[in-house]
Amino acid sequence: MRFFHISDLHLGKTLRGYDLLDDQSFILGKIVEAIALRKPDALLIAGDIYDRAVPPVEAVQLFDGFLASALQAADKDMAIVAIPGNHDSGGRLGFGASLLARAGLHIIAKADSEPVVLRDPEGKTWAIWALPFLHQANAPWEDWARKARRPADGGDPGPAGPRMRSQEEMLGLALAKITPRLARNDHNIMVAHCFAAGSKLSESESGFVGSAEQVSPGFFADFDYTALGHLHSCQSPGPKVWYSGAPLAFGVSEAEEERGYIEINLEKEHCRVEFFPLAPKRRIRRALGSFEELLERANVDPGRDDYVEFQLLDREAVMNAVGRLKSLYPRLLAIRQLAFDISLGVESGDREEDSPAWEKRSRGDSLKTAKADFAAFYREMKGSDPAEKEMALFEELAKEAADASP
Amino acid sequence: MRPRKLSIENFGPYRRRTCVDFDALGEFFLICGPTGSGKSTLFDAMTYCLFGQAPGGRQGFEAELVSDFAQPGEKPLVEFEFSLAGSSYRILRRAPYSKPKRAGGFAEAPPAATLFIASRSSDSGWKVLVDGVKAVNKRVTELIGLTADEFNKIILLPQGEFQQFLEMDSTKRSEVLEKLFPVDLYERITELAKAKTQEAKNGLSSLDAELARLEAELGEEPEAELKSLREEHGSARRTETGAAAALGDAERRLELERNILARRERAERADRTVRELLGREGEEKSRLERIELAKAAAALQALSRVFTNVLAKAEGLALKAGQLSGELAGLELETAAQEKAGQRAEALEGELAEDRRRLYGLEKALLLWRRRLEAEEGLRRARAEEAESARLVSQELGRVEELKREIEALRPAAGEEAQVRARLEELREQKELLAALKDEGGRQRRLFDDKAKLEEELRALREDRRTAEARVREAQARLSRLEAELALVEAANLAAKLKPGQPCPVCGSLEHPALAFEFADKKAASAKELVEAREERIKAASGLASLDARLGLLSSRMEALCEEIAASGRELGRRAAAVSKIVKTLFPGAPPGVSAFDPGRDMEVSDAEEALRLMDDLELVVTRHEAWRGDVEKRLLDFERRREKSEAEGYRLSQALQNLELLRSRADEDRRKTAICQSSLTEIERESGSVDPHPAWEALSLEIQSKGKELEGLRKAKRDWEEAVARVRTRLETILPEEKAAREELEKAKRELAAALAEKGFLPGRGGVSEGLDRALAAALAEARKALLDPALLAAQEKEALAYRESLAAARAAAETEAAQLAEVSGSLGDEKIDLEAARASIESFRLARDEARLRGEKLSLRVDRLEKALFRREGLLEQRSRVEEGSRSLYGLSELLRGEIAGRRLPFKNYVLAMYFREVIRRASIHLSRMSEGRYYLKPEEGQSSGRGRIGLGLRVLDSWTGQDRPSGTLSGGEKFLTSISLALGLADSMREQSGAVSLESVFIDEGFGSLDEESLDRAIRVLDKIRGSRVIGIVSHVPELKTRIPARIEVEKSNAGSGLRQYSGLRAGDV
Repeated sequence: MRFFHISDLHLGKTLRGYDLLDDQSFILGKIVEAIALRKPDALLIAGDIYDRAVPPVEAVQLFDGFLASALQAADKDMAIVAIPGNHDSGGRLGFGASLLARAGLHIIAKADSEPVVLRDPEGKTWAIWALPFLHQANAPWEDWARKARRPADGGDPGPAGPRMRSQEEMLGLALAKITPRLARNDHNIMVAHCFAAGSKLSESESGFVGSAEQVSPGFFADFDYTALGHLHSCQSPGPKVWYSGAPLAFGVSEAEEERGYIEINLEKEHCRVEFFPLAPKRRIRRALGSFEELLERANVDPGRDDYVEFQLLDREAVMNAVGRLKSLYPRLLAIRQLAFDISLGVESGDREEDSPAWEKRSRGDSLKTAKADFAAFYREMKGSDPAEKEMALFEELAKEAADASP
Repeated sequence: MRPRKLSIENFGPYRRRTCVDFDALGEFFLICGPTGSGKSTLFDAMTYCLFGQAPGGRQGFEAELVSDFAQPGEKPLVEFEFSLAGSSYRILRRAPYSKPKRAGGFAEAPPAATLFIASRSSDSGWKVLVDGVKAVNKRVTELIGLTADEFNKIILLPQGEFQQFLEMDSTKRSEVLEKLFPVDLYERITELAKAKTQEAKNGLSSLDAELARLEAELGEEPEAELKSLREEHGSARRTETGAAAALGDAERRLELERNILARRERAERADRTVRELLGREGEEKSRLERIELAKAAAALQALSRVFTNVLAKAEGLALKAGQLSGELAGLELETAAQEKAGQRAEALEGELAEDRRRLYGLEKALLLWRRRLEAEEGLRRARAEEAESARLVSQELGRVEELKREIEALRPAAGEEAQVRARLEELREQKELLAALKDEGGRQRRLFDDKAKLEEELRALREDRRTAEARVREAQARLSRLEAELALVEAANLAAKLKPGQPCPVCGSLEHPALAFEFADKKAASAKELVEAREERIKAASGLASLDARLGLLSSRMEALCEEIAASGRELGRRAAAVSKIVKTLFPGAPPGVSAFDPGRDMEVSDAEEALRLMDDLELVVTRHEAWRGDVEKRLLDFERRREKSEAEGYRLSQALQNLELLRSRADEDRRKTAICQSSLTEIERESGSVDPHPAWEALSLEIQSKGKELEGLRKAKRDWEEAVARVRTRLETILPEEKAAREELEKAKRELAAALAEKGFLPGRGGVSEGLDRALAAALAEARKALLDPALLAAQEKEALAYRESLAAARAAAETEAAQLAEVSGSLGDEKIDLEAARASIESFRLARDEARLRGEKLSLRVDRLEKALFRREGLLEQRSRVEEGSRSLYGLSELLRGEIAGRRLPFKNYVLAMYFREVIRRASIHLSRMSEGRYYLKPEEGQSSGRGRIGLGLRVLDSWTGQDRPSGTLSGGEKFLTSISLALGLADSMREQSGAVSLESVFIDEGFGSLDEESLDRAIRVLDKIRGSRVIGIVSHVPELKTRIPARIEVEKSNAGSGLRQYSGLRAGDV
């Protein structure tokens, strides 16, 4: 059996105000080509199909077209199994799911849905289980937890509302419903959307992922293959557990990473997983150099259509850089000027160090602070350092003033 | 300060008891709800609970607090728990409310408040710290270091207010900054410097007054007076010293004499003691002898104990040696049986070695057998894979072939297309010819039409001319008539005026005959009539002339037209001839009804009818031609389509070929794998043979095991026996020499004892040692025992003897020392006689002289002292004055500096420091802003104002990386302004955290403003906020529902008819990738 695994399409996403639909349409076209060539038995879409719960019309149309051409390209009975990710609205995505299932499109938006069962030429059954991104609303967690005879956490949930459960807890409850039924099938595949512990994060995933949200990849040990979505770079957090990653890069720092889809060939116990990178229509990249260099380079730059972030290395601020660059690069993402960082003493944006003058000030000791401030003031007014005697006099006054304060 | 828990009841829109558990919300959360649902009431409650007043000092706030939904008599309660500087606090506060009276009606209940601190010792975990509204308010203000207003500004960052801060002018900003940073110290220092300068001035003048008083007191020449007084005092002191020295001498002498007398007495006493001790000498000697004898006997006693021990040991050893010999004899009896068992063991060992060799062989076979099974399995698998890949290859090959066939089928016959194209080209040319012919035909028809029209026009024109000629003639006739009539009338008029004799103006005749006719009734035609007639004639003539001209023009046009028609006819003929060839091909037989294109005919079309016919024929030809050309074009289109399809197929073929290549390489690899499996299997089969070696191996293993056990038993028995023999032998061998040595030792001891007894004199004679020695020894030992003394008694005797000798020696030494000392003391006095009375008298006189001198000296010293002190004080005052003067000068300088009034500038210290704080705030805010705007915006303080007169530079500019220029903050867009004001807020919070005196901002709530951001900026702002918040807790207050999907930990405020309520989604975060 052959499966295609993709995830994190984020259709309708914008990048610094630029609509990525054209690029996404291009990359989906590539995937359709691959489907036409390799004819997989099923296409697994592991969540985050749209970038938002309420996607723009164009994004919905793009996905619609993709599904139609993928099914056509497969020109046999290919099943498409898709789940909503945390960016999708399960309720909206799951509209008409039971009707669509007859046409081979299985959108699984509930945590207790039936598996999609395929048969191989030998008559063996292949069950594709899918769990949408788990949250408060997509399963009766309280009931499940009660039935699992696990008391919540002892205390009453209080008047504040329903208790928030961790991902791992919800996944455990959902899998507890599935695991006893695995033996009925010859093979089992899992599609899920979560953050498996030990995985690598990319820039475009916001740093919003608390450790409480991680789940152990060991949860999926009972499946012949687990197709995960959520993280944007292709990786395997555990044996037979894979993230296909997003088909497109979404941030400048991800430009070097390859993005694409996964093809899985499963025969009995043998599982071959291959990652196929896809070349995007336009790259997202960063260009460094002095303004002159960048302009010179632009003349011979074949990638003028790319999404480019510029870092100007000139020591002096460059006036109206955007005017020149934007006319050359219509998809300019940002301009950063090193000169500004230097002149404002924020050379590296990641450090939050104190400025030299500020650093000399002693924290928490108002007297020392006052002395340092006085010295600076003296220099400002008289152009020289205060004499020892003057300093002593000031200190005496400061002490007295501080003692007198309430 | 970090909020932990807030609960409110009957407060604002909240009627039911409502709790917010900030701890459970984590470090980044959202407070959301529709506008007016009571989000900010939560903060009002927090502020009210802490300070007992509303943010912004709203009047009558307390009355507003009570929930409108509350029933009369229900208490409005707020409870707030927070941690600060490592301690936890809790405040319980009740707002004033109407309390039901027992007698009915309501009374106003005053507010109440209690502040608790967390305490382990208390049962509830809390201990009352302060009670009562005023006390709590005071304590909280001290704890937090902020007023209610400042607290609300800093802890709850109303984004809008920072936007205001962004837009404020320098003066307002400085007011805000002054509240936030502790600069009052600097102001106090400045004040103090001023006050001190004044104080120093006052001190200086009081010093001057005191100096003047002192000068008056000292008189004219205080130094000279001091000098004479000192001299007098010196002489008095000298007198005193002399008297004191003499007194000392006399006293020392008296002391010496007393000493000598005492010494003499002590020397005599010592001599007496020595003599007494020497009298006891004889008695002590006999005691010493007795001690010696007792000691010898004791030594012998020890020797005899040794002897007894040696004897017992020798006897014991002899007994043991006998026992061991017996045991050895018993063991040696078993030797024969042991040898037999040894032979059996050797035989078993040989058998076992043989069996093991066989077993090893079998194990090798087993291994080979297992490998054979594995190889067979591998081969099976490889064959299956090979078959599958071969199937895939052939399938793909089939596809490729099919595609190739399809492409072949699609390829058009050579030259066919070119031919069709040429034909089409030809047809197109012909079409042009036909079109040209048609055009010409049309043209000719138009010419004929024109000619007909022209002829008609000519006819009409000629008619008009005839009419015009008649009109001219008529006009001429009338004119002539009118002119004639006029001439007549004029002549008559002339004649009437003629007078006889006067010449006629016409002919000069002086005679005037009568009129030839009567015309009195004749009326001359008026001039008007005449003019009209003339005009009429001219008009008619010119009309005729213009008609003539037009006639000429049309006639010439007619001629030209006729010529053109003739030319066109020729052209038409020529073109028709050209087309006739086409017609022949189009209508290969006799052209049905198409007569015009008879190629044999002379083609000159000269009349309209013929042209019309030609055109009709042409229409037929063109229609037929169009149809033909359409066919050819369709054929060509067909070619195009086939080519396109063939190209598409070609692309698919190349894809298929690539795929085939891939599949082939996989198939090759699979084949290679199968071959490898096959060859390795053959190899293994050759080695392994065809019999399963398992049963043989198992039987042999069992046999080896049983044999091994038997051999082990035999070996153990033999080892045990051998060990026993060896053990006994070893022990016997060690014991025999020991026994011999013991015997020898016994002999030796006996001899030594005899010798010692003899030496001490207890054994008489030394000869008969061998015979009767034992008996003699026994007797001697008895004798020695008699001389023995009890050890305690012996020790006492010895001690006594020692004491005697020591006291004798001591007495002798004492006597000698006393004698020597006496000699020494007596020597220093010489020969003088000792007279104690005389000495005492002289001492008394010396003492009197000395006391007198001392009294005088003291009096003088007192006066000197007083004078010196006065002088010293004057000096001190002078010095102090110069010091104070100096201090006052530097204080003045410092004060001026702190007030900033130097070199024409005016920059007070406080303002300078504020500007510094401001720059720091901006620097930090700039870091945040550049991150939030992806490196686009920075903030910088406005240049050039920090040293201006009376102003501090608190201006603010925004730098834009994209344009490289700075601009005022007012020009930012709403969203950018929001980001900027958040950056400012955070920058301010960072800077304040570094400062002493202000409360540490562990939590920041950002109120509203998120609505102004677009999707992507919102994501970025939230991400950056989460990243830069450090250890701070950040709460975002917003009505934007979109935020709910991004921030999972949140409080949702819900509004209903019965008041608001909360839903808390706490603690864990749903993640957001």
